[in-house]
Amino acid sequence: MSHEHALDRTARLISIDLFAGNATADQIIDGLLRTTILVRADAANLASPNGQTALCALFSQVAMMGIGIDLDIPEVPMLIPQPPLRGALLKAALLDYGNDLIPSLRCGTGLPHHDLSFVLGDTATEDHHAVLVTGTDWSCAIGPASQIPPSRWDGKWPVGALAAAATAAPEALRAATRRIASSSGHHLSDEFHHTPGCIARIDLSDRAVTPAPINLGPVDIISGGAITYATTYTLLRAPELSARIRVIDPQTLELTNLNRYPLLRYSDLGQLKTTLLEQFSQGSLQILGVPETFDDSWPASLGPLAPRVLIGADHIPARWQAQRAQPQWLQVSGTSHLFAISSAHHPEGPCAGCAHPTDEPGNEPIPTISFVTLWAGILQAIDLLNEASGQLTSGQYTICNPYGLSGTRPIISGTLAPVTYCPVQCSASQRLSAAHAGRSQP
Amino acid sequence: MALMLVPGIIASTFAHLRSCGQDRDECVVYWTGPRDIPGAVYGMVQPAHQAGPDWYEIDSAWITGFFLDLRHTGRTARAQVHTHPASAWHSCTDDLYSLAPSPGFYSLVLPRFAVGSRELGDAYLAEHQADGTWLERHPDTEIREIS
Repeated sequence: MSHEHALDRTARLISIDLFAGNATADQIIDGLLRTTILVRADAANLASPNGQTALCALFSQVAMMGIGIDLDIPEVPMLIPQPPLRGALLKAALLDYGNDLIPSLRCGTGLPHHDLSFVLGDTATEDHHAVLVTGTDWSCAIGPASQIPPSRWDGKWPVGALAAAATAAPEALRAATRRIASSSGHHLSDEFHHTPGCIARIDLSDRAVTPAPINLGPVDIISGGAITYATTYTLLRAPELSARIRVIDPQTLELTNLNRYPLLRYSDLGQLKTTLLEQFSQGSLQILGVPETFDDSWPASLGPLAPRVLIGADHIPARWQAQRAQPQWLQVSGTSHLFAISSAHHPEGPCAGCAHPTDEPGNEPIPTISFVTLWAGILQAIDLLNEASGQLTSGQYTICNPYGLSGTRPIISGTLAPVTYCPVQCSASQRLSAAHAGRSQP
Repeated sequence: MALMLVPGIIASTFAHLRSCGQDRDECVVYWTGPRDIPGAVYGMVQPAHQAGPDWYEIDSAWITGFFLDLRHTGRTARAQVHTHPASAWHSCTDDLYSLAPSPGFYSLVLPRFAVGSRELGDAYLAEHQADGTWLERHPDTEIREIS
């Protein structure tokens, strides 16, 4: 069954992290596909780019988990492009996308028996258990309608809306895992909080960029994987953004990518990842695909690298190779189970090798889930916007655990330190080694 | 639940244990993380302690303050990491006097005063069980840096 392949990575993550490996993939996927989430928004909350972005991203995040969606919204015109949606009308475009995503996914209007309801902004609701999804340009607040002040969606800088979607989506997963536990008889790991409706407030305004035209210039992205898709998904929604992006990746899109590539539709399978990304070029944000592997021959095949290079590969040696190419600025984003991490580096270090000095063993498929990938993309896009706006990012890392966003430290940032055993042997690590050697001299 | 470490924790753990132990005394640090994110290790704390070649002892007043601070900041202690002069194993003292003898608490022992490789291949890892015993675990699978 193709939905089993499409949801394979998601099922792996849920089994390992939330059921201590006890629930089977069949049990998990069956539970996901049987779960139904109501998403409700009125016309007033869909009258801004951010309201529409919050809705589209939330729909996408939930749908990529295989969770059914009952869409209770009026039909409204699409105010800005919302790739990969097609057409001019929002509701019709969302339902069209939902029916071209995970096989066997249920989405429509009037679906019965909701496991959880999401209500956008200040849309009226009588359901006190509904989860309110609110936000601003650079912040969001998610939680029970009885405890979160309603606030109408407005504005056009999309970071808060995307963060809202990526913060709300874990609540849909919580609803699904309770259903999985109930039907399979397996206990959820008691270390996590599993009841939907936790309050989460995320404020990224300290990373905000001036809402004026921003020119990112030339940007190279090594890997056209899920994080690159999530980063591009974010950038495509930013207003007045210019860039010449080159994406380097030789792979084609596969069924197992459908659980986390937010720009991907089922009908895109089999295409080169770079070809699909090229199709999303819009206005002054141009994407060029290079369907090649980034290996030692890169100077001959690619020419000079762009001043800003992004890499979203989970393969750690690929990050070292990118760092060895000595780009002026390198941003690395990755996911590890329920964590998303991003870090930025300049050639003097601490470099990507200092941040990730050891490779992870094993060839098993990596467990992944939609909202962790979107967070990795949001963090990468924010770093890129900050760097282009002259804000310091190098030498810093940010870590987010989207399943724990209601906690005391939902997103943390820190300063990287060089390590003597850096596999890249950047100059910072060499200076540290020299200092250690000097100290050990008699 | 595997431990998920922010970048640099392992490097700074080795650095502290080496610097303090001076290749002659045992030493100990604690790994901490937010209580509501299972397995997360976001920080490392070195306690006030005294030590010799085959022992260490934590200042009891420091422990009291440490637990109060953890409570106030929504954190928990996830693991203790200490050194042995020779090979890594869990002694009877290690079994009986861990910082937080509760299920899921880890104890990592590094051999040779942590002066060897920064990899954890020679280390000994045990996880406290609900019945009060310690179960040996494999460091490579239970301790991962978030990457």
